Amino acid sequence: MDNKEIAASSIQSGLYYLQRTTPELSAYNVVFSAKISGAFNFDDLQSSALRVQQQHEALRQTMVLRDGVPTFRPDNTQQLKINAVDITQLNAEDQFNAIHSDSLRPFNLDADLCVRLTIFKIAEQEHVLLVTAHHACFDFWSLALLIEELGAGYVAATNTALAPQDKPLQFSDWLNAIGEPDYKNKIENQCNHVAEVLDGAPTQLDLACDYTRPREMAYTGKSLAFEIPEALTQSIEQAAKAQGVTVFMFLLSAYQVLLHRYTGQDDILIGSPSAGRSRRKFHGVMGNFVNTIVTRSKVCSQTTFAEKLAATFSSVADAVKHDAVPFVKLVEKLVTKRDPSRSPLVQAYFAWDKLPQLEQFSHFFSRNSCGDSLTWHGLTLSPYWIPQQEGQFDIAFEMGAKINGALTGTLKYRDDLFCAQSMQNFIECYINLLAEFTRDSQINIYNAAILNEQQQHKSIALSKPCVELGAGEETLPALFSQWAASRAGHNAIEDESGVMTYAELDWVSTAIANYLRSNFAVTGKRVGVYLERDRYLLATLLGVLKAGAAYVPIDPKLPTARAKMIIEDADLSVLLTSNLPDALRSVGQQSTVLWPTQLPILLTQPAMVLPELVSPSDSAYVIFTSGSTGRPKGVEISHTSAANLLRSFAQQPGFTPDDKLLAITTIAFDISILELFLPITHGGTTCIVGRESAGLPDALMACIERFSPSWMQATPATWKMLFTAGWQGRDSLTVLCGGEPLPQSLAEKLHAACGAVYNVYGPTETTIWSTLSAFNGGDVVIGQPLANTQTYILDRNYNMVPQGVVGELFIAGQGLAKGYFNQPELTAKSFVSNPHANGLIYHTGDLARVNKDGQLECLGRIGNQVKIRGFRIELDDIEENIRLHAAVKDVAVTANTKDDERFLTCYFVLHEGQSLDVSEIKHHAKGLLPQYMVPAYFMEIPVIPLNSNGKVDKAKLPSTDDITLVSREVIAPNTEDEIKLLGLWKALLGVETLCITDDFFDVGGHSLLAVQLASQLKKEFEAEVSDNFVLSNPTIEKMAVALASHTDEQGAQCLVTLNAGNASHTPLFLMHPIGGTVYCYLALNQYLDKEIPVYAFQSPGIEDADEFEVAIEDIAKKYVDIIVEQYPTGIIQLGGWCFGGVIAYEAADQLQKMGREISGLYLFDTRAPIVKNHPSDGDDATLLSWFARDLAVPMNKTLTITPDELRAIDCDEQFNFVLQQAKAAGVVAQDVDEDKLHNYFQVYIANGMALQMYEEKIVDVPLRLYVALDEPDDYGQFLGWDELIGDNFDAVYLPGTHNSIMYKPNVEALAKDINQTVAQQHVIKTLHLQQPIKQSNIQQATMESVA
Amino acid sequence: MNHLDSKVIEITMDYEIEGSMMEVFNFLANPENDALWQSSCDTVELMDKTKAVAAGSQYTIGFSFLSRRMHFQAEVTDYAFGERYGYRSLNGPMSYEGGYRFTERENSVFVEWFFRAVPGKFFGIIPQSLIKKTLTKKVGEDVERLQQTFRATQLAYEESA
Repeated sequence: MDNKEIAASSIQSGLYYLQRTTPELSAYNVVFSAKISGAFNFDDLQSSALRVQQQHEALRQTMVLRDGVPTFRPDNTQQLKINAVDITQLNAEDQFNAIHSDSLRPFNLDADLCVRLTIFKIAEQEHVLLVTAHHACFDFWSLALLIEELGAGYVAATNTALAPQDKPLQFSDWLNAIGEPDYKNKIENQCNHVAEVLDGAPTQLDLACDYTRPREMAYTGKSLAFEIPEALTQSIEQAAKAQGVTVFMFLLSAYQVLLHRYTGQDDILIGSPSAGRSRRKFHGVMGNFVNTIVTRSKVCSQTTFAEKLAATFSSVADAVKHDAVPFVKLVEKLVTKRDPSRSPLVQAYFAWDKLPQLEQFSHFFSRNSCGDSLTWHGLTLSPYWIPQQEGQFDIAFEMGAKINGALTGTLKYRDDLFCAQSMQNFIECYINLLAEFTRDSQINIYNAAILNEQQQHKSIALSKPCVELGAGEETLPALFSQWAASRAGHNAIEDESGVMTYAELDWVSTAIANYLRSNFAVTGKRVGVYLERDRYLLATLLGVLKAGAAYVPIDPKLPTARAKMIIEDADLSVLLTSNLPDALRSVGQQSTVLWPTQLPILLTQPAMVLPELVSPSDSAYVIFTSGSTGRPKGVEISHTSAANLLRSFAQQPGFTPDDKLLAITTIAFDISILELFLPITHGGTTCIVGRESAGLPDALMACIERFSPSWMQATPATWKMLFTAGWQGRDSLTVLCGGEPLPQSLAEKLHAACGAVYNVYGPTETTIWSTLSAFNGGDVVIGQPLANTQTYILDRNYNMVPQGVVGELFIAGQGLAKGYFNQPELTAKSFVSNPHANGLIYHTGDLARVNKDGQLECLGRIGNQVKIRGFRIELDDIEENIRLHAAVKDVAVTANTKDDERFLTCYFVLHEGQSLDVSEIKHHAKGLLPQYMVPAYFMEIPVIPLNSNGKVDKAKLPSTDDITLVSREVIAPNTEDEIKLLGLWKALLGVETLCITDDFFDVGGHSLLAVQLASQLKKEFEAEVSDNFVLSNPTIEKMAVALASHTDEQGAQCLVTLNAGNASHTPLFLMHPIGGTVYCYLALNQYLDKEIPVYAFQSPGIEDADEFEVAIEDIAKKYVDIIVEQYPTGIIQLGGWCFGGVIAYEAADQLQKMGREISGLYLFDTRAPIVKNHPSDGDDATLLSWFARDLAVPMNKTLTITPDELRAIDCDEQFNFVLQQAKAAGVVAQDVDEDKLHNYFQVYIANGMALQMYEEKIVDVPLRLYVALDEPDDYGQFLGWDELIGDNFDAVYLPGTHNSIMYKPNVEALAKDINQTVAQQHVIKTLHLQQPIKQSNIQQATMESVA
Repeated sequence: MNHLDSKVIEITMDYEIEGSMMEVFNFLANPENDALWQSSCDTVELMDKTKAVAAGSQYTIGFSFLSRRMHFQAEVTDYAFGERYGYRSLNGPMSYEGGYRFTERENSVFVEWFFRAVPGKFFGIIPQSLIKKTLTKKVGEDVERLQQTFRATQLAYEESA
C-alpha cells in the first residue's frame, strides 16, 4: 500500500476549496440509495465494506492543505463503518426526510473519509442503504464500482474469507500520470485550443428569473422528474439515427435551442460531464475522474434544426476529444471577472448519465422510477430516490435512463431563481420542441412551436383584461351627453379662475361645434388647437368633437420649428389659437381663428341643437409624437378607442360622479385625454391646472389643496418633483402613474402617502394606456390589459414565448390607433397582422414578460437595453440605485459611443444646498452596482430636461463632449514616468481608459492593490516607497511628481494627512484599527468638514515588520510623540475605530498627563478595554480567523474561517491556508505580495495581543462613543464603557454593523455627528489664542480626492 | 512559505534593585517567589518543601502567556549565594533555561538576567519576534514593579529606623 501524500487534481482542488469556504455545502454530495427488502446480514455487509476499503486507496484517505495545495493524505486509522439507524418509529414522509437530511450532511474533507454508508431500518425486513460520497474525491463511476464491489463482497463474506488485496492501480497512479510534464504540456496545448473555440462566447446566460438573483450562489435547489413519452422516445431515436447523431446529441441540441429561445441569446455555452476514464486501465479505480466539457451553440435567425444537429455533432466531438482539459483551467482562461451570483463559465448543464456499471441501477436515480426491484448479490433492491447535487447550476438536465421504453430525466434548478411552475413549463417546452424536431428536422429553430396548444391557451388566458366590458362602440360626445342633463347644475370643469357646469359646457361646446361646422365645414376633418389651458380649452375640444372633427393639439410651448412641422403635416381645416407666433402665421393652408376674440362672441349665442355629426369610427384626435426620423408622426385615434379607454377606467379602478380629477398634463401628450374627458364623460369634475402651475411644484401643491381632487395622473417625474418639494401626499387621492417606468422607491412612496396607486402603461398608438396595475407593495408590474385589449409577449418570429420568458410586448384590441396620419407604410410596419387572432397587433418595442403571478412586467425599451463589454444593462436599474444617495435629487443615465467605445454617462441633479464630488457619487454607485454598471462619466446638471410630455428628454442632456470638458479631464501622460505609471495602473486595475488625474481608489483600486502597486513601484522605479505612498499620492500625476522629487523619503513615517484642513481648526488624529492600516477612514474623511485637519496613524509595522509594538501604551506613546512634534501646543481631538479607539483612549491619557487639552475623543464602535471584553480564547488561531474575516471587509466579501478549523491545521500551514482561501474567495489577488500580507498579519496579531495585555484604566476625557446598532455581537449597550468609566461619556447610535458604519452609506451619519460636535467645539476654541502649527514633517499630499 | 522558524529566543536584561544582597538574592533565587512578582507566572511548587533551595532542587511551575497556559517541571541548575542562580525546564511544552548574575553595589544589587527558550511550534503562528518582544515587555514591567516593591520596602525600613 502506498502511504505517500499526493496533490489533488485541479478539479478536485476547486471542489475542496469550495467545500472549505462553504462548510455547510452539500451540493457536491453524490448519493446512491436503495431499499433492501427481506432479511440481510448487517455484519456481512460491514465486512464487505471494510474489504472494499482495503482495496481502494480512495477510501482510505482524507485531504489536507500542504503548502497551499490540496493534497490526499493516507488515513489508515478510519474504517469504513456502516452507520445503522433505526427509524421504524417515523412515518414514511419523516423517514424520507431523515434519509434525505443524512445525504445532505456536509463533509469535512480534512477529517472525514470521502464516503459514508448508512443503513436505515424503516420496517421489519425493510432497510434503506444510503451511500454518500463527496464529489471532490468520488464520482458516479466510483459509486457504481463501490456498490458492485460491496455486493460482491457481501456474497463472498457469506461463503469464504477472501484475503483483500490492493487493486493494482489506484487513483494516485492517475494523479501521477496527469502530473507528468509531457501530459501537462499536451493539456496546455489542448486548453489553448478549447479556449480559442470558446473565445468571445458570453459567460452569462440571461435566463429570466422568477426571483431576484441573489448576490451570491446559495447552492440550493430542487429537482423535477420528467419523462419523454415512449412514442416520442422512439421518434427521437429514429430521428437521431437518420441525422447521423447520437440520442445525446439530439437531446442536447433541443436543449440548446430551448435555451436560445428562453434567453434570446444567439451564442450560449453549456456544460456536460465527461467520465474522464478514456484510459481503460483506470476503469476499476475509485476516485474523481470527472471533468466538465463545454459545448458552444451559435445560431442565427435562419438556423434549421438539422444544421443545429450538425453543429452539435462537431462541437461535442471536439469537446470530447479535448475532454482532459480541466474545466478549472478553462474558467481561469475565459472568465476574467467572477460573478459570485453565477456558476463560472456555464450556468446551464446537460448530463447524459449512461454508465455501464450503473446500467441495472439506472432507474434508481430517477424520481419517476418504475419501482422495479432487482436481485443483487442475494439481496432484493428497489429504488429509493433521494434528490442530490442540486443548486450547482442555474438549470441542469440529467438524462440517460430509459424506463419502460421512455427516456426519463431530471431537471435540477436553483430554487432561489426559479419557481417550480416555471420549471415545469420549461420541461413542457422542451418536450414540445423535441416533438417538433422529430417531425421536421429542417424546421427553423425559431419557428418550432415551443408552446403546445394548452400552454398557448393558458398564455392567452393570462393576458385577459382586468375588466370585462362589452365591446360597445361609443363617441366621446355621446358619453358626455349621458350626463349633461342629469348633472346639469354640477360642475363639469373647474379651473383657477372659474367653473363651468355640465349645462354650460354642453351649451358652449355645442356653440363651438356649430361655429366650426358652419364656418369651416370641419366634419371629418382636423382642427388645430393651439390654446392655453383653462376651462374653455376643454369646452373647445368637446366642441371640435361634437362638430365631427378630430382635434390636433399643439402645445404653445412647443418649439416653433416643431409646431410648424405638425401644422404642415396635419392637414388642418382651421387652427384655433390664442397667440400664434409670427413664424407660424403663414404655415399650412388652414384658416386661423383668434380664439380669445371669437369665443366671447360664441358665448352670446343662444342655445342650439346640434345634429348627430360623429360616429364611433371617426377620428377623435391626432396626436403628434416623436419620430425616429426627427419629424413628429401623427397618431390617429378613433372615438371607439378613446371611449373604450374611458369606460375601462370608469370600471377599474372605478370613477364615480363624485370624483374630481386634477388635469395637469399638456394636451400635446395623449394622457391628457384621460384627464380631460374621463370626468366629464362619467359625471365627475375635471379640474384644469394652468400650464404655469402644472410645472411648478409649489403652485401644483397649492392646486391640489385648492381643488382637493380625488384622482390625479402624472408621470413619475412629476410625482418625484412633488415629493422633492415637500408634498406629503393625500389619503383620499387615487394616483395614476405612467408615461415612464415607475421606480420601485417612488411606487412605495406613493403607496404610503396616497389612497390608491395605479401603474399604467401604454403607447400612444394603443390609446393612452393599455394595461393597469394596482400597486399594493411588492414588485412594480404593469399588470393586466384594459377592457377589450389583448397583450402578447412574442419572440422575433411572432411566436408566443413561455410564461416568464422575456419577449416583445404586442398589443391588440379596441385601443389600436387607426394608424399614423398620412403614413401608410409606417402604419403597416408597426401595426401588423395578428398571428394569434383576427385583426392587427401593435409592435410596442418594449420588452416584457408575464411573471410567475401572471402579471405583465415591462422591462424597458428594446432600444434602451444596452450592452457594454458583453453585459446587458438596464439603465433604469442604474438610475434607481444612484437615486438612493441622499444628496441626489434626480438622475438620468445614457449609453453613448465614442471612438467605437461604448460607455455610460450619468447626469445628476442635487438637492438644493447639497454638494457632491464626482468621485463621491461614483463611489456610491460602485457600492451598489456591479462594476460594469457604474457609469464612466458623471455630470452634475441643474435640472433633468423633460420633454413636453413630462418624460426625460435625453436629447437635451449635455453631449458627452461637454462632459469630457466639464467632469473628466482626460489628460494623457506627459513624461516617461507617467507613461510607465499608466502602464502599471492599467495592468493592475484591468482598466483600459485611464488618465493621469484619475484617483487610484476611484478607478477600482483598494488597499491590497495599493500595496501591490507600491511594491511594483519599488521594483520599476528602484525607489524607496512606503505603502502609504499610494494613499498620499493617489493619482499618476502626483505619483510621478513624488517619485521624481523623492518626497516619500520618510518611508516609515506613520502619519498620513487625510485632509490638510484649516489651521485654525482643532486637528483630529485617527488611530488605526487592529489591522494597522487607515484605509477604513477614507470614506469618513470624505464626509468630514473640510475645515478640519484630519490625520491618521498607520502602524509602522505595516512597512517594517520589526517596527510593531506589543503594548498599547508604547503604540500610543509613539503616536503621541509625533502629535506633540507636529502640534507642540493647542487642543487635540482623537478618534479611532475598533482597536484604534483604545489607542486613542491611551493617547488621550498620555496627552492629558502632559497638560494637553483633548476636546473630543471619538470612539467608533470600540469595545471598552476591560478584561470582560477579551475573547475567552484570543489565541493566534482566533486572531488569524479575525484577520481573514477583516481582510474581506473592504472587498465587501465574507471570508469565514473558524479558529477551530485553523487549530486543526498544522501551524506551518495556517497562514497559507488563509491565503489560499482568500485567493479562492477573490479577497486577494492571485499574485498578492505574500510577505507583505504576512506583515499585515504580524501587525494584526501584535495589536491583538497588545489589546489583551492592556490594563484597565480610567481616563477622564470628553468621550463620544458611536455604537453600531446592527452589530450582532453583543458587548452590552455601551460596549462596556459604562463599566469602565461610569456615565462620563456620550453615546451615539448609528445604523449599521461594526464594519459598515465605516463605509458608505452609513458612515455619512457618523461624519455628520462629528462635524456637528466639532462645530460646537470650534466656537469654544475660537476664544483661545491660536498657536503656530509646525507641519514640516507631515506628508503634505492631501487625501481630499481619495474615494 | 514557512513563516515560522524554530530559532532560539534569547533575552538578556540587566537592572538594579535597591536592597541588600541577602534580600535580593534570596528573593530572586527562590522559584517559589516567581509567582509573586512575575505576572505571567500562575503557580509554583517546590517538589521537596522540606529542603532549602539549592542546585538540583526541582519544582513545578505554570505560566500564562500569549493566551496559552504552560506547565513545566524545572530544576535549579546553579546556586551560588551572592553570585549566580540558574534554572532550566526538565519537561513541558518547550525547553528553556535562564539565570541571574548578581553584583553587589552600594545600597543595591545589580542583576543580569539571561533567558533562552526553544518554543518550537508551541506558540503556533505567532512570530518569534513578537514572542520575544512581548516577553521582554512583560519582564520589563515585572522588574519595574519588583524595583518599586523593593524601593518601598527600603523606604519603610528607613522610616522605621
